[in-house]
Amino acid sequence: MKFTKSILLFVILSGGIFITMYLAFALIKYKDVPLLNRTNTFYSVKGNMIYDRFHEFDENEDWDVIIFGSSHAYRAYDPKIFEEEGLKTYNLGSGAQSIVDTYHIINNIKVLPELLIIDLFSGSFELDRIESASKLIPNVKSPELAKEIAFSDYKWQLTNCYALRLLNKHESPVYIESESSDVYYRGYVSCPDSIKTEMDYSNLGEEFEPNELSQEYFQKLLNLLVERSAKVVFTSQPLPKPIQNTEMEEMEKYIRKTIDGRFYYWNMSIDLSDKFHPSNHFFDESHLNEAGVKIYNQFLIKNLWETGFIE
Amino acid sequence: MQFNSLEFILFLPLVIALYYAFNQRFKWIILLAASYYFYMAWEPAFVTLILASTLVDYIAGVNIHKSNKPTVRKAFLLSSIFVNLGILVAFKYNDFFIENINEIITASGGRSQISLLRWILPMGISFYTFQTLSYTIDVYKKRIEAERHLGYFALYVCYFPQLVAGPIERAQNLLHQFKSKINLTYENFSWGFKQMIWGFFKKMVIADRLAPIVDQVYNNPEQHEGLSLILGTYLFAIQIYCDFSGYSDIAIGVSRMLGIDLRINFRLPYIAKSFNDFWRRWHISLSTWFRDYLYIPLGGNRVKKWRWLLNIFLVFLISGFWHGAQWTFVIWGGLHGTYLIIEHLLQPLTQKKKSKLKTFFAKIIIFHLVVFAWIFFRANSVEDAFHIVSNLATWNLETFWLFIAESGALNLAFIVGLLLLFILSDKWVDGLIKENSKQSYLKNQLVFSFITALILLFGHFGETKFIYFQF
Repeated sequence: MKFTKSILLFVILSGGIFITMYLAFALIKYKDVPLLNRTNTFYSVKGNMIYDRFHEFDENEDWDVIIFGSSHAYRAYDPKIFEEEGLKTYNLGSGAQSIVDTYHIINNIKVLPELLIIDLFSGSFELDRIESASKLIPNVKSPELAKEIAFSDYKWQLTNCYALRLLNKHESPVYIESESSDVYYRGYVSCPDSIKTEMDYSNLGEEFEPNELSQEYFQKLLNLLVERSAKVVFTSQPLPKPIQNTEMEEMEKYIRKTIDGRFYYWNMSIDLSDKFHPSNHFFDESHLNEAGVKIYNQFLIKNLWETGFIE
Repeated sequence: MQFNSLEFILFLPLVIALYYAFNQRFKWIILLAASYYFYMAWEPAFVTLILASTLVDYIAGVNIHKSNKPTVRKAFLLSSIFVNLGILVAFKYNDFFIENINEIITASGGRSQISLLRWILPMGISFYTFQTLSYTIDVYKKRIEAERHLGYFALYVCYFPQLVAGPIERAQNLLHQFKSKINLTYENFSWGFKQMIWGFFKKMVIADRLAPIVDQVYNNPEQHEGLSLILGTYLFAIQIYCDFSGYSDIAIGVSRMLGIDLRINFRLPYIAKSFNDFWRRWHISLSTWFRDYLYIPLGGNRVKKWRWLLNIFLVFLISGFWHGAQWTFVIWGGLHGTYLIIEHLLQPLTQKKKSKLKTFFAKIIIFHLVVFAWIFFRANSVEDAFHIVSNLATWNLETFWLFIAESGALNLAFIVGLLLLFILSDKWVDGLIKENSKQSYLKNQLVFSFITALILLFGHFGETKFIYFQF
């Protein structure tokens, strides 16, 4: 009896205190941003460029190309450059986008474009998707998509993020000013800066360790793409150092094995390593700057024409 | 399977329910099956290593105990040591040795390089290896009798609450508990549950929230200046304490819910008034292991002074090396060895006229020297560590405020606030965990419900590993 009474009391008290604190932190704001966002790293705000990216996108427009992936996608594929070649393009990349969330985003799009470009980075498979999902949940347009992202793998934090989305349903998005020189166009965020100094490029680890959920969803994604007869190219954007003996090389092997010839995979971090100068074409240890994006996108589009992916 | 995972939240109540539902005779079977399942949830194949270690040490223990011949006893002891340490060295240090050989080849002008083996490090190997070694050594020294029941012995080796990151238990403490009659009591369950909650708070609300800030500094030290490096280092000191002591609290709490006592592993180490005191408060199970099985066999302090000080230094070098196959850990261990040597040499001076003020300053100095040593423990390489040390005094306020802004000023302030709350309440909460009187019932309920709410609201629920899992 004491056990039951204690457990019941504990559940009621914990639940009550939690709900009270949650509401307080969710509804009290500091400079228009809920305290819950201000006091946690992985509770992203509703707003900024990611909000625009997903709310401006209209799947009913006749897109030629849509790009998916992590920050390596939204920083490395410029719709303007594609449009110069007559390709109406939109970039649906997002920060640390997990392959799980790429699956959900694509699955939610009823009308697929002519071509999907999915940029793959080792983090897409290795990270625990808290960052990826917490950025998407408040900012994707579709409530069903937000729900799917929140409840894919039962992480409590994402449940909190989803509840925050519901509480802030009628709130306007917030734009926290950035001092960077980033420029936004159709989902793409460019950075004209370059590093101009020697960077330590040793951040790439040696072992590629895709988590189980990512592996499961990568298979699901491939099956979905086959089912919907989607025209797809998987890519990995160029990196500032050779990928030999790094996790990217291991990832390459894993992807080729899993894709098993069903789709194309262009690992530009191998093919283009001699065309880029680390200090001039990157603004940090792995993201291309404007100059780098131009070289990369022109090369990519040329390949897409030559291989018949675009006609 | 990690403690901070959904799988564990589902696994634990099931194990507890089955454990108490069955008769005493079968409890060890439930725990053994649960322990193997727990380990295999990470990587099934590596359970073979634990099984091998279990069989080797079981056979060694029984034969050491049975035989009166010194040569036979020694042979079995040495076999146990050789197999256990051999497995540990093979999996943990192979690439370290290969890398260093390659560096020597390169330095002497050679071109050929030996390929790294890249073997996966089996989870918990450093811990369960030391645990089984302590058993065979104790049997050899006739401190305990060999365990004849293979099942109980296997459970001693792989008992899941402490399998992966300690506390490293002695057979005298643990084995007999598996055989004792255990009933479900409210006091044990309540105590264990509260300790577990406190451990989760330390790990998920403090340690995991500090991790991204510390990583920002330590993964790119060349991009940071003195103030950020100093802040990152102090935050790491808190992170590692909360991460590791949090794990220990969860392990001890879970075990107590099963009616089994594990030894305390941390005792407010950052208020130590000497380095000797620090090592009686930090990772107690490991430091006592090294004291009993390395320091004392080397002669301890019963040898000439120069040999005694050398023993201290060697033990700490090896302890550093135990933590990881990198020179940074060896340097960290060496630093602590040096601290202890200097402390011993200065003892005649420092023992005169102790006062509260002197003790206070001693605690401050010890804390800061421990924090300084953490630089080497956390740095990704020796170069990074020395870069950090040599830049501690380069202060650039503009860069520092940029770092604060990037980390989220309010987020950082909130974390510091949580930290202060934690520091002020750690000792009080520890007392409350053991408190089970009627008078404190409601206070207990409120405090631990509040802590649980904090975990649900501010905890990081990602797949973050405990720091000591990598050892």
